[in-house]
Amino acid sequence: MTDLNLTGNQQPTNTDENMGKVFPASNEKQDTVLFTDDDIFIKKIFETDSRKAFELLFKKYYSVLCNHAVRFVFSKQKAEDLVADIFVLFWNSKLYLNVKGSYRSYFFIAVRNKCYTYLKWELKKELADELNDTQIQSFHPTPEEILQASDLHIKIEHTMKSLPFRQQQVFVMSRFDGKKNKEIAKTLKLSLKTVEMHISKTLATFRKILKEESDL
Amino acid sequence: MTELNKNILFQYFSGEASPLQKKLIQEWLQDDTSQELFYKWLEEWEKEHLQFIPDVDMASEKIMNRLDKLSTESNSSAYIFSLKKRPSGIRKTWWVAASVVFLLGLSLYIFHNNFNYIQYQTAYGEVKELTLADGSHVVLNANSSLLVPRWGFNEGDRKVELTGEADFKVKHTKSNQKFMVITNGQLNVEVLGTEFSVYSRNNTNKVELKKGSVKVLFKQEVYKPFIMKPGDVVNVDIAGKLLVLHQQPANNFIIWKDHRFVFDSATLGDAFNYIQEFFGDKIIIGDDRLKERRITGSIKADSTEEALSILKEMYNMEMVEKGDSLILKEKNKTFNK
Repeated sequence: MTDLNLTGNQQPTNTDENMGKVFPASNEKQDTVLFTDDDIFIKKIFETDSRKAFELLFKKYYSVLCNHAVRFVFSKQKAEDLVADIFVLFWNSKLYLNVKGSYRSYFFIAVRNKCYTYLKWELKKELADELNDTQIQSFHPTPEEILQASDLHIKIEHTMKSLPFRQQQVFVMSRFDGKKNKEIAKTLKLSLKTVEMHISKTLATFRKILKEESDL
Repeated sequence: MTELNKNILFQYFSGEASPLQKKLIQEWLQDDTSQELFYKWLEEWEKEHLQFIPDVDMASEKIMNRLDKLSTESNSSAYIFSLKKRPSGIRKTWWVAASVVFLLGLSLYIFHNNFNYIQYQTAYGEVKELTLADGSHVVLNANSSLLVPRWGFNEGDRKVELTGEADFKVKHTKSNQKFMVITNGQLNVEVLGTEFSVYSRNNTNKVELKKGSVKVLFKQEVYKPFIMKPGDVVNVDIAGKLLVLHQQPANNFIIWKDHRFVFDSATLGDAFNYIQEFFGDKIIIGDDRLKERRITGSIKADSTEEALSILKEMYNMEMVEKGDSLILKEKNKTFNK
């Protein structure tokens, strides 16, 4: 296997082994782009011990994927569940045999797709079955679609920030932390009705904004 | 160009890019290489803007279990043992002298239908370590389940529900919150901060106190309250009979720790039951007398096969496989002197 680590200032040549690499213009040390060193390493392990390879992948990407997911689904628990489901599907359908490009891009795309579908369901309350059967194919989102997904979480963040303080606080405790309304009411010394109102108001705001933003 | 884009992308992810910059990004994304770079920088940006830190180790164990469950049907020899070694080193003493009270009749707690609780489950042959929201430490032994409040403990009592076997090191909280281990059996344990083991399976209920001083109350009112000292073992058997053993050394009856089974004057029958529960293989002793023989000692074993091969030798038994059970009987006494 060729050494894909580039250091220093190298001029691109036209040999086969340099195909697909990115050559920086600057002097700085650059990582390879299409594949990380870890990718090569893990791919090799899949050939002999797929379970171990899977575990490595999981431990490597779980946290960052959950953090990305929570930007779409608000709830920490839900984010973790969604990411776990993706990994399970990845394993069950032996999708690791079909990964083109890096594992990183694969999982990020899968997570964004899944979150998008989940949000759709959350806001429209479409059938849960649809959600479970979502197959993450080896798809290739267009530049528009990539930006669309990012724009979504950016919009969500922006909307959150523009909420009145109390509303934001209640909503975060409810969705992010997963606290029950009663708990929130007790902790913040509000009435249950007030808590419920804050939440439904926030949901309504999000429904409106997200409808405008995309086809949700 | 590359350097410029990273900063622009970071700005974009943070919601600060202008429409023109977005257009630039979109054009740049036409290229596969750029798309890979996009996700690389997205990962970097996420790591710099973490919103929460999930428990990766726990999630990893959970998912590996899920995978195992999804694969082949159960066959005792196909069990994948994931045995976790307890961290070596001095056991911290979180004990605070406190009285411990067993509660009466709490076994009807409706934990099961409440999704506010997370269930930790160990498979056969698996041992799991958990740290609870209050800092208490639990080692969940094989084939056991522990229900823990999903969002941590609030004010008021800290309750968990156990089926099976676990070691607890309960941390004392400033507000003196009681820690309660609820089981389905005859005993519940209420502590403020101490170290103890609870065993609750199939009508066998035991509590072993390692550190602390406890006051015991039983579900059956006929038993008066009792004060346990470290080294005491309280046992309520199938018939509801109470047995209190005094001054037992810390490693009493049968336990499995650090890849070893430790038996202290336990009957072979009990030993095999324990091994069976632990690894999930079916063991039958074909000889009642054999069941009553006592054994003391420790054997290193990470599987039923290992445990049995040692015990076989020690007690001059032979093993026969019948279906998915293992049957043990005494060898013919041709070699005895």
